[in-house]
Amino acid sequence: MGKLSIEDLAKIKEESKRKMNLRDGEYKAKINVHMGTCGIAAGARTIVDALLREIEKKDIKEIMVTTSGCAGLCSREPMATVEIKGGAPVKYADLTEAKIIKILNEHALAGKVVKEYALAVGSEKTTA
Amino acid sequence: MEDLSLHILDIAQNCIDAKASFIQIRINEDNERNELMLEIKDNGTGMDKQTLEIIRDPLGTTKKKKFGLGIPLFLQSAEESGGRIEIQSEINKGTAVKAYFQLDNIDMKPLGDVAKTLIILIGTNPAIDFYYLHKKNTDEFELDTRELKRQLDGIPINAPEVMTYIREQLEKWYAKQ
Repeated sequence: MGKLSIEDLAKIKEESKRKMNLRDGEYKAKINVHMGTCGIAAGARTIVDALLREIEKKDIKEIMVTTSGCAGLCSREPMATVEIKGGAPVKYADLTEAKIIKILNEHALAGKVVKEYALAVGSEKTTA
Repeated sequence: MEDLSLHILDIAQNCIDAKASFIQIRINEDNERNELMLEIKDNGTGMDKQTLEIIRDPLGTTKKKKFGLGIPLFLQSAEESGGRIEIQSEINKGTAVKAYFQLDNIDMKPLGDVAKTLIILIGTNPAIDFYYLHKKNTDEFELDTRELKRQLDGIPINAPEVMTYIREQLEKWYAKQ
């Protein structure tokens, strides 16, 4: 029978507590992956999975990964929105695993918008 | 949807939208009875009778609420393979979706990567509690985040090292199935 053991958890708890003293526990950025039925059918689970694995691998504590429903542009799924504390949210479309990892490293962690994957950056034109 | 684990993720998103604080997912695979039972149950806002009546209709709408394709697609997956779905719901009490599948049906979708679905649900919803039980004939895997959180004593359940541990335990069990 598979079950998580109390001894293992106690070990993880001690290790986490030791590490926790070294960080402030504040999230710097939020990556929200759209996981409506359309997003899931288009591969949103692979996107979140890639993100969580990278965060585990690199032991990244300052990024929060959340999910939400359909963003209204089903044909451009998988989509994600990156929001840096104090900054405007940026929507990314037609995501792949490689794209979301680049977005995590360059935008969420380093603060630089990955313009080539963004849904709309400066696309609105005023005709006045 | 390619497999049942994606349907589980999709239906669980409905539970999250319904403001559930506790979501239970049960899978019971019984080769002797040639049946796979899948249940997703929440303590969310629930649905009224009118919504419950139209939920299987892909274009169903209660005017105020927009329609969704999650349940119709799940229903299609079940019915295509000789299965069925039961939905029970009560306002302010929650909703339970129960699906039954014929294991040997040629059109039965594979279960898929349930471990991946669970890790994502737990990792992106640390405030929600999950109970998971997968029974396969005589073997079973059980996970209760309420119990985990008690043991972790303040360490967030979505801390990278905790997530890695849960992932490893799930993958270990599924690898030997």
